[in-house]
Amino acid sequence: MTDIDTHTDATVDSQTNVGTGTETTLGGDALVSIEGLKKYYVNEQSIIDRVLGNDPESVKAVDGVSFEVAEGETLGIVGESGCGKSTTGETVLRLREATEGQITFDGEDILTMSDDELTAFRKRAQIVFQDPFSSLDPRMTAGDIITEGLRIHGIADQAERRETARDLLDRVGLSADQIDRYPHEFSGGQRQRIGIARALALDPEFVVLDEPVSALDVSVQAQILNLLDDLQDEFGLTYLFIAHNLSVVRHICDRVAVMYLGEIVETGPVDEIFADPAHPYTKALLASVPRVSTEAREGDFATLHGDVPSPRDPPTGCRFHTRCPQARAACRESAPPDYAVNDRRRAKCFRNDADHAYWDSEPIEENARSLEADATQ
Amino acid sequence: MSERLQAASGAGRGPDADDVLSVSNLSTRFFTEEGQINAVESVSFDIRDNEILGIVGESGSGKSVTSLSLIDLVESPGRITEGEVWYRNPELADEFRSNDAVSVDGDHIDLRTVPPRVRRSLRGPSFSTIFQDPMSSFNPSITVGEQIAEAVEVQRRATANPRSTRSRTQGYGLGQYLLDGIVPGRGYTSEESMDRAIELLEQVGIPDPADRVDEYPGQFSGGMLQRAMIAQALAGEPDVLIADEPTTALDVTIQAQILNLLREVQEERGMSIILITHDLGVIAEMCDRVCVMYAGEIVERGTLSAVFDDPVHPYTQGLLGSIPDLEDPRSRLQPIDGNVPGLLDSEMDDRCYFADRCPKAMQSCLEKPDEIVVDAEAEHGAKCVLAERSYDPDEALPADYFGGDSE
Amino acid sequence: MVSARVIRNLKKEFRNSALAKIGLVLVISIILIATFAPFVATHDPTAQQLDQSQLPPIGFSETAERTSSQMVDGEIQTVTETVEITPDPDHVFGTDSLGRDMFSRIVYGARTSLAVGVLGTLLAAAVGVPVGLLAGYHRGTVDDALMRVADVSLAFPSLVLAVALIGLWGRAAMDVPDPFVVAGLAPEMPESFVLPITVVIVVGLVNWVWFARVARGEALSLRGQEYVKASRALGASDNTIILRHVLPNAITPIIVLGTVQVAAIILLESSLSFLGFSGTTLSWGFDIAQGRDYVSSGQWWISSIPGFAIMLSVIGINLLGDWLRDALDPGIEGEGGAA
Repeated sequence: MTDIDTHTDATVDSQTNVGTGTETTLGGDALVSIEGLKKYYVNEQSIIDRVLGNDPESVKAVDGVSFEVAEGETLGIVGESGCGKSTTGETVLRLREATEGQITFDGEDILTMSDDELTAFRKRAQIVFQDPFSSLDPRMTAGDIITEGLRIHGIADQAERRETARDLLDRVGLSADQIDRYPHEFSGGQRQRIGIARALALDPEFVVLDEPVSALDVSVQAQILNLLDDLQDEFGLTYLFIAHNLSVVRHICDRVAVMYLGEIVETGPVDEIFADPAHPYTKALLASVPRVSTEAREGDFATLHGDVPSPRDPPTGCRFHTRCPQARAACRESAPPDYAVNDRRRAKCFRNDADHAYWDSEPIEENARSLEADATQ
Repeated sequence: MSERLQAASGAGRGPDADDVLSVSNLSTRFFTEEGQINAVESVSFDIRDNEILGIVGESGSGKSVTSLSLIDLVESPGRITEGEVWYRNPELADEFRSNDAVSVDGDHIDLRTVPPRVRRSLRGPSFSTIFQDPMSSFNPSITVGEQIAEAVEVQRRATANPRSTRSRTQGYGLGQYLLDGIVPGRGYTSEESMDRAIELLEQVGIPDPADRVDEYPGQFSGGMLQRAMIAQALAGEPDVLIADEPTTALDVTIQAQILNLLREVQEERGMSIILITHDLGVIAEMCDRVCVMYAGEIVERGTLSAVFDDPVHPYTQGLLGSIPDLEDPRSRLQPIDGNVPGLLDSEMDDRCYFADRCPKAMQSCLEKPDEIVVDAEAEHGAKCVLAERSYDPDEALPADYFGGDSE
Repeated sequence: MVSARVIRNLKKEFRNSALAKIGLVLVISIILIATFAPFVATHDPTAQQLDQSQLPPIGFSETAERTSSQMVDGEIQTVTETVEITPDPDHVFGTDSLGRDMFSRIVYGARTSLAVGVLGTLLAAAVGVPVGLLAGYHRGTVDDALMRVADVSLAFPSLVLAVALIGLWGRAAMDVPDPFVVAGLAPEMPESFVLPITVVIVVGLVNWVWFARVARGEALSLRGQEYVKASRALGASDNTIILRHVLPNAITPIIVLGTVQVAAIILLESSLSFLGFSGTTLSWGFDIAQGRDYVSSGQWWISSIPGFAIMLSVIGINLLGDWLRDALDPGIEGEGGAA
């Protein structure tokens, strides 16, 4: 990688394309559009704090996230623990109340919906959870679990619902005869299939998949990934795929957003980003993944220095500067805006701006020490 | 034991000189209400000086129970029902050579035959383990430094009384405990052990170790705590370190740090590591040799390149085919059909355990296969008839031979 | 709601535990005795036979001092004579100071205890469980408010609170017709059974907090379960979730608590009767009270036998509760799948 990060279509347009990703990253229609989403968890203040006038401590789980999901595509959100990806996924469906921001689904504003509108929305957007063991009510049969949504919305009568359950069980690769079995009689992978069937019962357009395969064995993972692929084609679904496993994301996603400490640091088509990352965090992430290959290892992993900072107290300026091997003093002072790397990609790093003061400021010493593989400064 | 088996695994004919540990026909069974569960079935392998051996498998493969069995941590209703665990320790071998109850072979001693007390005393100085969840491996109410110092202290007392294995770790009872509580300045650990603990924390890359030594586990992050666990494991200067899914619970960037640390530590000390994981990438990056486990057995083994580049057993092939590749995205993964078996003795037929999920199952698979050498030089063996013949569709078992529904 | 595995656990625990068997036997005995009281009792428990008073139970001969006024040598004198009293086989447990058959009083007393125990527990649960579930599920101000009320309630010793409430509301009782007697199947027995309503309400109100706490604890942990989140994602309202998901999964510890509460309420009712605050005189506690004066003079059975009855009931119910708790242990339920 050369000194200044250039990526295919050169011109970096620093100011005008900052902030909204709406026009530049997508060609097609956006089904879901998120703008400046924030989710803060505020601690209860003790009386003393209030008297002293202290600001309430808050955990900024999601701090200004913007992205879009086009109809029919699979957008991945990838990041490590504490980055806010799960919170983002749940907030998009209004399973958590956003602190600030705008979420638009098929032209409608989710955050200002009335209760009735929200109920209608639930039929169009669903979620599959990570843990196959706690995401199914142990006291309900598979059939009941799958058709719960239908019951809630008063769709179809009992006989029809049962038919639907049998049908869905079949579609997700289970035997329809297992409709009256309880969750503990199924394996992890099978339970996850039931969870998927449940999400599909209401015939949604948009499905948030929150780490759907992370808790599964490798061979079962592959089964479920294939299934999700097939279902997307069959039902014409749009996926928001949240994961921490980069290989899985590469396999199933069309585009990906990389999150770090509550922010999206890079967005773009998955193949491009993985081949040529524009943000040092993405680069470090990719370098850390152990490859299933017997080719000679090039020494140690290119590891990042230190731990992930706490979301309660994020670093000033660029949040990644405390661990970034290419951090400089400028990174500490101000936070990089969302640069357009090309018309499909964005990244929050000064290295994408050829004219920024970054290039004249001093490298941060502690970080420079840690990286073995990439020596460019 | 058949010659083919011996040749491939190197086990069964007794330990070699450069084997630190040689396991032979180890079986561990769990006797539960629902029936007998054969968690580990006749497993043999050895670990040599200065190497990292990988044991890879999914859940239900028996890999964790295997590691627990080595250090005698299997609890009721589980029990090791057969097998030999040869450990190379000349002093111990000498001590028990004349004892008829104990099996000794040169410098190796069979740990299954020594008194339980002795086995227990080996934990720390000879064998150490690090587990998946560091948070539950530490006592949350004692400082990290104290816990590491304890491990150091155990080692110190053990080496102070080399001739008497019985006295190792003994001598601390209720009386001592009460006394330590009352008399100020007394304690199980000494200042020297605490100093050594600080040293160890530094070696594992924890910044400001002198300060952190007084902190509690809750104040450490996951990655830091895993480092502390490694420090604790190293305190005894063990010959063999058993790492059971050490990085599964960690983020990928922290995992990279920990794996680097393990490699460093291994190189510096010439220690041997048994690395148990389900992550094939980790195996590929860390291990010299690897064993693949399925349903309590080792179904394939060999050097890393032999097993990963040239897998013979369809399970290994299936595993490798199920993983999305970071570098080379395929449009379709090749998963293995069906589910892992439940290991209930009554339900396990006397056939190849993988036959019901195997895309290449043939008539001969209805008999339990021995381990067959694929490539003696690479020590590559597989428990599959395909090691010495090719797949013949004419002999294939019909798709629904095993009944039930596969997924 | 009750899965096969639960039933299997119940059976297994039962097989292995002698105490569980004892508990079950005791409890079933009490239930049968109380239900079929008119057939089990030998006499009408309210019938006084003054000439048969203070008879000892079978197997015990008592000497008693009888004081009477007699004419001795033309003067009225108080004469104390030591009389030996032999039991009457007609009265198995003897009689009390008014000549009422102790055995029958014990039998009917079982009805009172069981009725108050069960009804009181149901009332406490009916109040406490919804409160607890709402508090635990919604948390925040709802939780704070409800739990403060609970704290206040707990601050009062239950007996003191019960006495105070009874003092306020009186000792109203309800006459519940006894179906067996009305149908003519046991003609000598009283036609109606006196149910001390105020006591039922009071003990229910005093004990609701225990149910609230348990329910709240369960709701707190269950609300974080992913299937609750999943339900919300499907569009379920909070009340639907509480009824369909939280309550069924919380029911186990509530049932265990319920059994233990019955024992506690039986004790509470006995204490209230003992103190004279019950609306009925056909109660074990009442008998203990009335026998109190006679213990020192040798008629121990009037207090002791009801005392034994209480003891056996409470032991039986507690053993049953232990069995249920061990068998329904949450560590066993709800797990499964590949490990």
